[in-house]
Amino acid sequence: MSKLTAPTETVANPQRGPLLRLFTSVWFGVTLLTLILAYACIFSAMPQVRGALELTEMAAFSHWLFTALVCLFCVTLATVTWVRIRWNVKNAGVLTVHTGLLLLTGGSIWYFGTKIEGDVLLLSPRIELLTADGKELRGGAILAEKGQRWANVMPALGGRVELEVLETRGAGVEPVVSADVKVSVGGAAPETITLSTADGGVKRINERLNVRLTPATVERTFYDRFVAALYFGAAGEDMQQAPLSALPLHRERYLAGEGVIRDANGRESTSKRDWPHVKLAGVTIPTGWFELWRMPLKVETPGLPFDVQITGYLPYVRGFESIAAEGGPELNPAVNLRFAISGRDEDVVLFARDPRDSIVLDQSGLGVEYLWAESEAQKEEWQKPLAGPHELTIEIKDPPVSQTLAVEAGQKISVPGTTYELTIDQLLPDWPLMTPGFEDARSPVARVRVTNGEKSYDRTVVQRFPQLSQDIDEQGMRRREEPYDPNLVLRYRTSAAGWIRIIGGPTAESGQVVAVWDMRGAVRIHTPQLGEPIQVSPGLGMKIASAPVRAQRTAVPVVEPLETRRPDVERQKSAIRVRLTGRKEHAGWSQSLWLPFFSYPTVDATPTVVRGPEGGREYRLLYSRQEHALDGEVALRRLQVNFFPGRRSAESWHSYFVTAAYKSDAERVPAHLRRSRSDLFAGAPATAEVYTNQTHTFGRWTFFQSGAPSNDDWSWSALGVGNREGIWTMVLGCILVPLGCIYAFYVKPVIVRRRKAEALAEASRRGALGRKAAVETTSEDLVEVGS
Amino acid sequence: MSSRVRGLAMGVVCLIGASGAALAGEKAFDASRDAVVLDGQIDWSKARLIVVQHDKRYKTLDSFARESLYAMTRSEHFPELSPMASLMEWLFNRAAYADTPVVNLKEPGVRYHFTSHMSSAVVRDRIRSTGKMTLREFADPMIERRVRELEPRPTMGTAMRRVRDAQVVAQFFDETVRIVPQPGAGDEAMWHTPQELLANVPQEFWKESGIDPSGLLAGGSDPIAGVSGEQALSVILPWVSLRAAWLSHDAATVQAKLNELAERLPALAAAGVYPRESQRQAEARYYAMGKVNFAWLVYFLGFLVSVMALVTNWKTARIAALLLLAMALGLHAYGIALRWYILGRIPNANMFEAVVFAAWGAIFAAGILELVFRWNLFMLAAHAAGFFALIVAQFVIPGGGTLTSIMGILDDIMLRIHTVMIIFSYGLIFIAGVLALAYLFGYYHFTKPGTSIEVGMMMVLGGLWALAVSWIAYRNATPGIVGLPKPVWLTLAGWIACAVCTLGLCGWRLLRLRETGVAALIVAAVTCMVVGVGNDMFIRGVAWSLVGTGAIWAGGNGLGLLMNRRRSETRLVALPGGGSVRMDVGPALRSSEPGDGKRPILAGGMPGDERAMAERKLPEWLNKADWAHLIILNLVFVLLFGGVILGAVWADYSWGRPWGWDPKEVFAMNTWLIYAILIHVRFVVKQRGLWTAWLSVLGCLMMAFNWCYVNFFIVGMHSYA
Repeated sequence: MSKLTAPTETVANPQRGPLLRLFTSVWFGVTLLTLILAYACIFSAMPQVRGALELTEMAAFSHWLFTALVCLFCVTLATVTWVRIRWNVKNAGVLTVHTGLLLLTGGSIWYFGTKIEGDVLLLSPRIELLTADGKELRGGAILAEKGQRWANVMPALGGRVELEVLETRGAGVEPVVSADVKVSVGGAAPETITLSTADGGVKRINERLNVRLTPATVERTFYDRFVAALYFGAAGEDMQQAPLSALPLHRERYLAGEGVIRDANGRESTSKRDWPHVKLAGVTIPTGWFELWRMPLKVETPGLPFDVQITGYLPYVRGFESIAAEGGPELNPAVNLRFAISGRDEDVVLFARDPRDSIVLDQSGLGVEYLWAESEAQKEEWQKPLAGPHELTIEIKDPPVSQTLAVEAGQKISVPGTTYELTIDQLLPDWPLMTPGFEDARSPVARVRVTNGEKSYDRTVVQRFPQLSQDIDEQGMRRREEPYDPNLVLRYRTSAAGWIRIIGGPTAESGQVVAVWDMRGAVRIHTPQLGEPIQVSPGLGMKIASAPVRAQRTAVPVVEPLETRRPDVERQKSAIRVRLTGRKEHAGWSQSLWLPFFSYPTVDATPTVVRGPEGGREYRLLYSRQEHALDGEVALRRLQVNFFPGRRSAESWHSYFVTAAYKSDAERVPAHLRRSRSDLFAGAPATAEVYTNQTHTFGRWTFFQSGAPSNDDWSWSALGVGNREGIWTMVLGCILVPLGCIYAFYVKPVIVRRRKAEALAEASRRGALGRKAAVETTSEDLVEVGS
Repeated sequence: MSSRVRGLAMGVVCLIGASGAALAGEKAFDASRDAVVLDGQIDWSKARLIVVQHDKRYKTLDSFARESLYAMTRSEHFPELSPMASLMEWLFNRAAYADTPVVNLKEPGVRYHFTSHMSSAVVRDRIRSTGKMTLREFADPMIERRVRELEPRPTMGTAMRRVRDAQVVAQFFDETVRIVPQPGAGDEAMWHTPQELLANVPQEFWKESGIDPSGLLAGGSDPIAGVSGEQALSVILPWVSLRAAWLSHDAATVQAKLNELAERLPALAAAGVYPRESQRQAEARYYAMGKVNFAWLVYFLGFLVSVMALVTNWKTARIAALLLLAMALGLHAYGIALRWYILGRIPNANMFEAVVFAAWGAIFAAGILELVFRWNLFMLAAHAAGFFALIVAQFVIPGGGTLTSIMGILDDIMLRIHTVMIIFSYGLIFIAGVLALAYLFGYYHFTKPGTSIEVGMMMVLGGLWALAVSWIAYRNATPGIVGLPKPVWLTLAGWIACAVCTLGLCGWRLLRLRETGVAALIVAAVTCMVVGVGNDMFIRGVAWSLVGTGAIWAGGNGLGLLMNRRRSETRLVALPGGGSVRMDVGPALRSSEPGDGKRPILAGGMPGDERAMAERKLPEWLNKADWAHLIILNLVFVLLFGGVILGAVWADYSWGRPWGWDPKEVFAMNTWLIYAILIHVRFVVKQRGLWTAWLSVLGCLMMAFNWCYVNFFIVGMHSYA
């Protein structure tokens, strides 16, 4: 059989070693291509796989396994090209294609190995209207650019207010540092004022209105798109960053034992895995060699007196709710309660020593109250039944009389042996208090009209805080300091809509007693264990989840239910849990808390403040994105938006900005210390622009239009930032491949056919033997095409 | 082939072609009866060219009517009414339709959600089965509550967007008819509805005329800046008269006022803002012709004739197929040209445009190749591609090819070149896929016809089983609801049933179990997977595809066998080991010489399959199919690579990143990788044509997956496409 019909026989060459035979095998190359294809299909078409392995698309295709496959393919391609393809004009096409592919893959490995991508948020310079006390007027701002106008009728500020920017002046990279503005209020003659950042940028227009020049933000850094970072530092000092490159991205990943995470519907949101592994037939196989995420993730935090570990990650947090957790500095008893109301769960946190947060009252008047008893006797006292739905205790000092009786609104009471006549005016189930120290606390109250001889006054009796009961005398004067009639003491209790008291103390070990009063005043006593459910009434159950004694408030995330999660939020809705543990002498100190995500650590971000183990000193923690230094400073001059007909949606964006490049040695100065360092700049500032389909190169970085506001067309612009190492290698490869293909597909057959014809002609001249040799030679040439 | 068979085949073709035209229409709504008469008396030719500013572009009133009504009713007009008359009814006589089922809910899941609160079982069942709701039912506050509940769920996103669009038409239609240009303003400025101008009319006019404006139309409270009282009156008066005339069925006044508006409105716009009349005419014609998608009928006829030309080598059939191809290509091109002219850009920015444009490019190229090589193969593939593309464009693609504007980022020359190259290569990939199927059909028909028939039957059985599963599992279930339990037991039962069927069918000839059994297991695996993961609609779709494809495959093979049995040269030969039959087709179709020397230059320098095919005595046209295949694949290999790279170049200067591992990019790369594998496999296998065909089918499936699944179901940067 000729070589043409049995090409496989030409592959094996006994003179080559086994390794060389492997790398020169077409089947091996095809197998590698198939593996690359399969990998690409799985990791691209199945986001669930990427999600389970916590890989982004970029991470999946920069993974060492994929890189290894590509490298192996490159080695095979290079070996085959060198060993099996003859270097001649006929094979120039395939040689060019293979060279191009090697350049392309090599360039892409370089490119993706060094790829950094992020964005920088630039705020436009603006002229803003402020109230006299410095608050910004909603919608009262315009771009600080010559010719910009704004007008609106604002009756509260004196009528029609008009603004016009007459002139602006910049300095260095800042596009506007002073501006001449014409202002007119209420039809008065326009006034021209000059605003300058040198003197704070604020000028007073009249007694109700100020105007301010806010310069554009000057940015020296940008924030990574994928890599998160923990920012930390002592309060009042600059924060440092610790990149969190091994943080999960897609799924709930948290260590157990630090509380249950629930979604907004009350369902538990579990962490299926908290470390990379798979279980097959009961055998646990670690997969950390493939998966890049880690939990717990240790964070390097030099300068802090405690170690920081990431012990939890939640990708979809709808909000935070407050709970009580052990770890406070002093006695502060609290209970975390879970109510089951007609099949729906509701969590309630009560702090015994906080007047406002020691009770919840529903609309019907049912109250749930947490009390901390100082003694067992007091505990007993607080569990007594009521005389009826409403109970009033009357104590008169002189003559000494004490009486407890059931009352109702409108009831008149004559106290035996005295001249006191009492009328129950009102019984209010929910009364808000405003006394300092008791702001926003609520309690049932009874309003009682008291007559005693010449005295006739109104007394408000507060159930939960009897000491706050007040008298209003005949002249209508409210007696706040002391009772108008100190001889009479009234105490009021109610359970007209039911009442629940959770009573703790006097020690942490005493446990909690739950006293449940029904609507008639009878009481049932429960002494539940933590987590033990109690049926309060049909349709209402409760349990005490925990009862920290030295409690502190902790924010706990409430996660988005599965059905309303959107897949494209990246880290925008995420939160991490950090565990802080004291070092050395503070080894026993530990604290765990959740930190929400902020896109930019410098814009609208609120660091979480923690008190350190040494006592007193506060530290700030912030979860955001990794910061990278730019090669200079950037500030936005203006954003221009082009709209579709009707101006209802934007068609494209155009950002004009100013850049000032640093000298090459500026890297020695940390990014946050470069401000106002004119000695660092390589030259004069330059204007630049990026817009849809137009990038701008600035040092090592390329800027592109990434984001813009949806509610106005000028206030900010987000520029995407990325590097592009190895791009020209890829470009060269990309040019070579199609050229080589065209040659191999369309030029080479012509050459082969011509040579074959020449060989046949030559053979016919030589005779039959020569003809056979010529055909064999030509056939061999054919087999080699592109092999 | 005898003339009797030819005549019979031609008759069948004509019959199928003619039967496509028989379509029955719906009866008019009760509320529309008077309007039907009025509609017949109006000449809409001027009025339909009035321009509306709507949905990010300027469109004709006719397009606006069709698109708006489609959003609500899933039809471009009310039964028996023209789109323009339907628009007038909806604008001026909406109250009469309160109890008419004008709202059409597409998704079965939405029907369920929107009716679960209804107490009347009759109404509930009617809506669930037909999807049609009356205006009154649709305006129920409960519907709005349901929409608010479902909107945050990403799985319901598309369905809720459709409902919101329908709500706009059903409840706020007056506020969308922005036909009044802002005088003197540029093309970004917002236009106005006639009602909004009411406040611009001087109060003196109302006093002098004695008309009470509050009783006319609901209008805006603040005057619109830049519109004079005179300008406002020039629109409001004919508009008010038009409304009154329409309600009183005064055809003459309706006609006069429509013409008046058609003349006055363009005069209000600044120069250059109002679209040119020729453009508006083109738009109206484009919509009136159903976007010229009906060309699929011509392609279909052409496909049937092409098959005949291929299998019979009958010259008349070839000429007829070529003429049909020219005719279909012309119609196809006319549709594209109209769209291009209307939009003022190359029409390749969304799925509809890409499919139609890609198909045309590939068909044109295939047509040229057919004229050059005269193999009947390119023509066959071209007809199949055109038929499939236009059917998909007409019936499958969401939105049905509505004219839309594009984001600024897509308005770039490099991107246009990139998309043209990519979609052109995708079109060629489809052509290659058809050629591959033709090759596979021919190859197996001539080598193992019995097995080939059985494989087709396996596909039919698999499809029937999936249909049965769909019917059993979902007959009482709510269709389309996310979270329904999957019929796992049915999946398992299906596996067992398929295995039993396989054994039963193949048991009589156990030696053939290898091919047919493998095919059956693949079909079983596919159908079980579909049943396991898909919902009822998806299962039914795959099932019908299997039934159709399998029936054609098995039927085609069977027909081929029957037709060739009559020939004296034909004989059946038992193959050693395989038990199959081989058909010796005689000298007319047998390759007499290996293809060396005949192979065209365009087929490239890859190893050929001519000698091996000659050894197997396969017909010459299979050789040609292999060459045709290579000609297309060479083009695809270069074009696809070039297209992908140009996309990367555009992405680099647009986003600062040439490649982002977006699913669309990855699957374009995957498609190219398959062709790279294909090229290299030809160097190491014996049955090169066969391997090429199978890999080409795989490449075509990869392309289809990229175009359909990645576009619609995977979130990525190319989601807008």
